[in-house]
Amino acid sequence: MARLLLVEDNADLRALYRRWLGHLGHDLDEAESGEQALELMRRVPYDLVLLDVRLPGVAGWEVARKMAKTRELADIPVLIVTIVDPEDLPTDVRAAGWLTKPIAGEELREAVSGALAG
Amino acid sequence: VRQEIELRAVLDSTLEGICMTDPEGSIRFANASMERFWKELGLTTTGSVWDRIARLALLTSKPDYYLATFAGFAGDREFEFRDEFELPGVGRSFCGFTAPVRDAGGRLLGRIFTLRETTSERQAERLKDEFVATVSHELRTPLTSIGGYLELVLDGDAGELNDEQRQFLGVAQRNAERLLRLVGDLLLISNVEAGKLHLEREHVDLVAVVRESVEALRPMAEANGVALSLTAEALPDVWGDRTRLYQLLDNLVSNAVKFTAAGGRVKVSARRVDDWAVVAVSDTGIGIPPEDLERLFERFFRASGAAAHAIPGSGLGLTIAKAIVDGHGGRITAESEVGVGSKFSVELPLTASGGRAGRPGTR
Repeated sequence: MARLLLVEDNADLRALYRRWLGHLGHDLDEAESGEQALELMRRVPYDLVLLDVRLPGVAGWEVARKMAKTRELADIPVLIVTIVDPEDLPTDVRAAGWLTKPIAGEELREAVSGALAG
Repeated sequence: VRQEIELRAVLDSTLEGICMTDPEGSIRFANASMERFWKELGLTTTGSVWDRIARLALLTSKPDYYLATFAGFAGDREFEFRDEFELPGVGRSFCGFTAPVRDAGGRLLGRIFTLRETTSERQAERLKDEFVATVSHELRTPLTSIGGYLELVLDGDAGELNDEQRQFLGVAQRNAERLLRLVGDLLLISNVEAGKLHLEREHVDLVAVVRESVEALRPMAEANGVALSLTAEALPDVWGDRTRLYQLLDNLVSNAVKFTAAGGRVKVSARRVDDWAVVAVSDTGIGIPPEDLERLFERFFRASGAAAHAIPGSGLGLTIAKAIVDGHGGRITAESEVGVGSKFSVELPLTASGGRAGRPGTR
């Protein structure tokens, strides 16, 4: 069982992802903003971060960049779930995977399992 | 004389820049708007109009093209040219035109040059494109929720459903998918407009893609009473984007089925002609009048028959089809006769030769 952080400002989507991922049996924490996500990451050792790009305050890109620059966070795989097309993504953001909304449950489960497997 | 003064005042009052030269290009007259454009663009020289045009060409984003075009027509008194161009340095756009001028008896008097500023039109168009792209992007988040929660309920996550509930939710799901496709099409169009159609190229068995799209549409054809057939010969691979090529075929074949009445036929064929794969989709449908045929690939354009027969569609399918074909270095053409049927032909370069498209290994 792994520990996941779900960063998404839309509450409906957080509940949906939680439901979809429920079958996998992982521990799931939620953050509504980039600041909150970084704050949680400092206290809890996550195995995977699911990151929305458009967030109020610190954008998803910035969260990923800050993680890459912080030694304790640099190795946590990041799965980016976004409305932005892959070709429009900044090139300096590293991620274990990209999902473009809209996504289906099976798609999310496969991506999460894949990212955790490494 | 009074008439001449009036005529001059009229010419000076128009927003379009107008210049008249003798057949050789010596300036005989320029109205106030033309003088203003020349001044603003730094084109006030003493030479012939051709000097000004050469200097104007240097301000555009493709000076070589314009210089070569005008050089190619040097001395040709019948030369006619019209084009819209951007001046990136000053952030302005213009539409230029030139043609010979004759009197009522057909005697050559000289040549006219006009310049019309289109900056605000281009700006409005850019804003519209940005707006469409933003709205389409923003629709993706709520659509994820709608589709996702419908999926949960239909999967039985919230308890058993009776048949009617399942049927109603199925309708909602089908329409959410339709909306999603429309959003995807709008985003694709705005990417094409911005000149960044992204192709994930790989070796593609085109015949397999054609077959797949035909089979996927067979239920729709059967429901409409349309006979759908496929004849294909073996083809070498195409270096292309499988998903986009499927989308192309799906657009063409579903159009053919949609526009064909019960009892009609839709024939799809794939064959090789030299170094090209040629896929043709022909139908015995309502046909397209000649005046619509020219505009068929414009975005949001819908042929008059589509409205008259209340056939649904966004007017984006063929625009997308053309963009996909262009992106692959191919060509798409349409022939049609009203009441008889239509035929769309797609030519795509085969991998072996590379065609006009990028070489294998490049994107």
